[in-house]
Formats: sequence, structure tokens, C-alpha cells
Amino acid sequence: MSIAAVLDSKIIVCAGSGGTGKTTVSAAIALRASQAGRNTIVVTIDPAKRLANALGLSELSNTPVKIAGTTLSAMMLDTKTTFDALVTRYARSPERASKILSNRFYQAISESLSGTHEYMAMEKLYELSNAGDYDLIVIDTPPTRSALDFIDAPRRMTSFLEGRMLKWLLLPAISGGKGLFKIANFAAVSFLKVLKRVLGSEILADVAEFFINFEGMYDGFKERALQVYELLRQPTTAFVIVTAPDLSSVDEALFFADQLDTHGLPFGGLVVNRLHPRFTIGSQDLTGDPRTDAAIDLAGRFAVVADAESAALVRLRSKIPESKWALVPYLTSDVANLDALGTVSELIFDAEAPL
Amino acid sequence: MAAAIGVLAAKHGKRVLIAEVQPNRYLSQLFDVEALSGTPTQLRDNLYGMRIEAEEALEQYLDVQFHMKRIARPFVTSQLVDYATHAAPGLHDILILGKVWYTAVRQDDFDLVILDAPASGHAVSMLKSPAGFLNAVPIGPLANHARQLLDFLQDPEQVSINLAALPEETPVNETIETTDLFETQLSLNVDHVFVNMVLEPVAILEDLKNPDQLKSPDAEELFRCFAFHQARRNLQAQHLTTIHKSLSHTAKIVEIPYLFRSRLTALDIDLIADTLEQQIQS
Repeated sequence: MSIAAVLDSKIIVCAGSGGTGKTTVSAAIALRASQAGRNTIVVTIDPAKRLANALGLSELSNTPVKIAGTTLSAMMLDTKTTFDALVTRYARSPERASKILSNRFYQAISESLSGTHEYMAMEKLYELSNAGDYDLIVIDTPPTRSALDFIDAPRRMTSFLEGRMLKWLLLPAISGGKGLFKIANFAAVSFLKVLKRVLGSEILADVAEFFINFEGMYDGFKERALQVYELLRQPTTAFVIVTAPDLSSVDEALFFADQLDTHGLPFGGLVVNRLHPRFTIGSQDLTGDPRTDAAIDLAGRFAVVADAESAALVRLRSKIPESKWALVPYLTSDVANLDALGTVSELIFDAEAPL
Repeated sequence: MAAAIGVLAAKHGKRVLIAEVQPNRYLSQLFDVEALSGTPTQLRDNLYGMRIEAEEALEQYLDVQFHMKRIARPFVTSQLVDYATHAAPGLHDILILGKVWYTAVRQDDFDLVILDAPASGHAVSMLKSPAGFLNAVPIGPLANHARQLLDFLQDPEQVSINLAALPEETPVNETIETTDLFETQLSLNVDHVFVNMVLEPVAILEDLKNPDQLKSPDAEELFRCFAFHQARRNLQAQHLTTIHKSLSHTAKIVEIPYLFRSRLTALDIDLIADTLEQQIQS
């Protein structure tokens, strides 16, 4: 089964470290699927301006935009709005929802809490999948410090929001220091003392208010995270790993592939992006002609880079069968319109296996 | 870049410490030393490296500021730190900056402390952390320290902010946005923008028009290689123009040549440091 098999999926998740051209690859995959007549949407996180223009996107918006004359839609994920919508949906009452939304602690964490972007990307995926408007959803993932973050994020975020331990520790603050305070154990009291001394009691009040209002919403969030996880494990989902052809990126990609395996998540293929061309020069011997020698020297320099990339690919080959790869060369222009994006699709899906 | 700046400053007789916050061990591999820890390790003459971790910084902070070592230990080592650093927005980043401040100002063992900050999106939120924290928590002991930290960051006599970019579309746009965010939201001025991996022209090949001008049986292939080099250079030139147009009024833009290496070594860092020296002085 080649990498082209991912085009028959219902969901494609593009993952990998930052700076590998992941967003462009996501868009190119979506474009190819739409050309095959599938109603497709690509959800991007932070596309380069030209790519956004190529997709007809001018700003961050949670509304899909259909590209004229195609069956391809695109949207840029707005994390904060998605989080706010979730709060509104799961809050026990509109009053509670507005209390949460105006809480300073919520405002701070809804942007900065680690895992929020990843969680909201998954949330959007789930929403789109449930609405059933599209045959295929291609989702670009936020650049993560480690690939593991991405799989783990929804669980970490929900466990933080559930905050069982934190709630228990804050109980004395929440209950106003009466009654329950007595049964809180020494650890809780000293923890609170530390927090109070370090943070001051102001923030504690905000945090406490947040958790009180959030009460009862954890189940909704948690349930949702579980359902997303199940969705990702379906055989109709495919993870595509995007990597650069250097050793450290390749190691990271392999580690990620391992993690997919451990979590029972379906691996669909691997795109090695930005490969330098290899020039076949018969002889490196200098000719005495300065211009020719300069050209030979330049070719020699590029050969060093190409050799290093080949070494990285050798490591890849030992773990992932070549039939699952796509090798995309370094382009000499930026993707500025749909035609250029189409070229990237061709490089991913139609190129003869090089090397 | 952090390493090259460090090498350059050390060469000029300064006692330099490079602090890394990413878990990739890049510095220790580069200088071929043991993995860095919370105490400075010597990398070369006058050049030291250290790794800052939020947990360790929190423990030290509680110890120094609140004399809480005894309480701090179980507090820090337990999973609670995860909650605590999340419960206070940006605390994780403040702790790291705080440790840099403590090392640079309080302990004052070094003439120059270089923080090898995380990638741009995260770097902005890191440098924003004291201000963001003050918004969420305007009063209290930690708020006072955050304010102190903010004053420190905003003092150009004490702190110099430098960005590194690649001559590609996304990094260039991010660098421009980051510079703008620093200025408008944090009143922080960016001193240098280092554009790395810039392909240099090969003077003698500039007027090469076709393979026939090359006296080699491989002329076609050599020309193809030259054409690729030219095409990449043209693309880079567009992005370099953008960055110069947008930023040269506010920061000094320094271009670092691409070295065609499979991986950089300490010797390459010396080369880059030399380039820096020439360009910064010019």
C-alpha cells in the first residue's frame, strides 16, 4: 500500500516538528483528494501568508471558506474562540459560562495552557467529523516541542481541568477556611501556605472561582477527549508524518511513528520534505579553468549536504518501508497559488521513487 | 547563534555563560562535553554552559526568596509543581527568566549571560510572561518579582534582544511579527536579526549563461547545480529584501553564510563568530 492510500481516508492528521513545511503538505494532500472528487476540508493552524492567499484565506476564522471552482474548503483554527464555544456548550448555566469567560485565570490559561492548541485542533476535528459535511478532513497540527505532546495533550489538558488534586488542595481556600479545613491534611495545608506566600491570595481567589464554576464541566470535556481519541484510532484515519531530511528530524519522526504504534493510532505515510537535489559529477578533479573549477567546488559542497540527507534516509529505511514514503525536493519557489500547490501534490503522490 | 555570540564575546576576554532551556542538548554536543546541568560547565576558555529547568529554578527561588527549602523540596518534587506552574499563568517561563536574572545580576559571576530562548512563538510568550503575570496577578510577592524582572528586561543597558531567522517565507514573517510584538506590547527593542544559512554568490560564476562555458564532460550537470544554487539564491533574496525593508530601521540585520555542512562543529561556530565580528563592526 503506497502513501496514496491515505487519500481514501476520512481523516488525515499531518504531524511532525516545526519548520518542515507541514502546513503546505497538508494543503497539498487536501488539494489532491479534492481533485479526485472528494469533498475535502483542510484545517490549518498558522499558514504562511502566500499559502493562506493560495487557499483564499485572509484571516483567522472558525468558518470554512470554499475555494471557488473546487471541492476544497479551508479554514484557519482560532483556538480561543473554539475554547470559548466549548465552555458555553458545557457550562451548567449561561451565568456560569459568562463567569468563566470573564475570569482572569481562564483568560490566561485559555491561551497559554499547554495542550490547548492541540486540544482545540482535535475538538474542531471532532465537530467537523460529526457534522458530516465533508468526505475528508485534513488537519494540520500545531508545531510541538516534541511529537509526543500532540497525542498526549488532550489527556493532559483534561486532567488539569479536572484538577482533582488541585481542587482538593484548594478546598480550604474554596470553603473559606472553615469546616473542611480541619480534615484537609498537612500536605494540603502546607501546599496552600506555599501558594499563598508565593502568589498572594488574590490569584487563589481567581483560581478557586474558576474551578467552582468549572465544576460539572469536566465530564463533558473528558468524554469529548475520549471520543476524539476513539475517532483517531479508526482505520479510516491516517496519520501522515512530515519530516525534514536531517538526522535529528528523522529521529524525531521515527520516535513519533513508534508512539503512533504504541497508542494504536493508524500510520498512513511519511513525507520527507525539502530534499536537496543530487548532481552526478563523474570527476571531482580540477581542470585548471577557474570557472569550471568553481562550479565543481559548488557541486562538491551540495554533495556533502546530499550525502548527509542520504544517511538520514538510510536510518529511516531501517524502520519504515519505502513504499510508505514520499520524497519532496527542495522547491525553488514558494507556494503562492493553487497551481504551485498542485505541483507539490504531484511531487508527493506521482513522483517516481528516487534514489 | 547563541554559541557563536558566546564564542565571540569570550574571545574578547569576557566571561560568558550560555543558558539553554530546550531539552535537545545541542550545546553539549557541539562542544563535546557532558550534558549540561543547573551549574555552569566550562565549554572553553571563558565560555560556560548551563541548562535551566523550571523545577530547579522554582526550588532555588523558594529557597532564596522565602527560605523555604525544607517545604520546597517535597513541594517541588511532587507532581504538584505541574499544577502550580499551570495555575499561575506563565510561571514556568518567569521562573526561567528569573533564574537568568538571578545568575546575571545577583550572582554576577559572568560578564555576559546568553539565553538561548525557545522558538519565536514561545519566545514571545516567554518574554511576555512577566507582563502577562502582572495582568493576572497585580499584587503579591511574586508580582513584585515579576515587575522587577520586567524592568530588567526593558533596560537596554542590561538586556539585548536578538532574533535568528532563516531566509524563508515563514521564518521571515515570524521574525517581523515577533519584532513588532516586542516593540508594541513589551517596549522591547530588538538589537540584531541574524539571518542564518544565506547562500553566498560565487563571483566567478555570476555571468555563467550556459553549460558550454564550462570545460568539463559534466558541464550539463554542473550547470544544473549552478542553476539550482541561483534559483535558491533568488528566492532567498526576495525574503532578505522583505526583512531588510521591514526591520532595517529598527534592528541591525546580519547575514550568516550557509556552510554546506552535514552538521555544524565547534570549528564552524568559530567561523560564524568571525563573520559576526566583521559584520557587527561594519
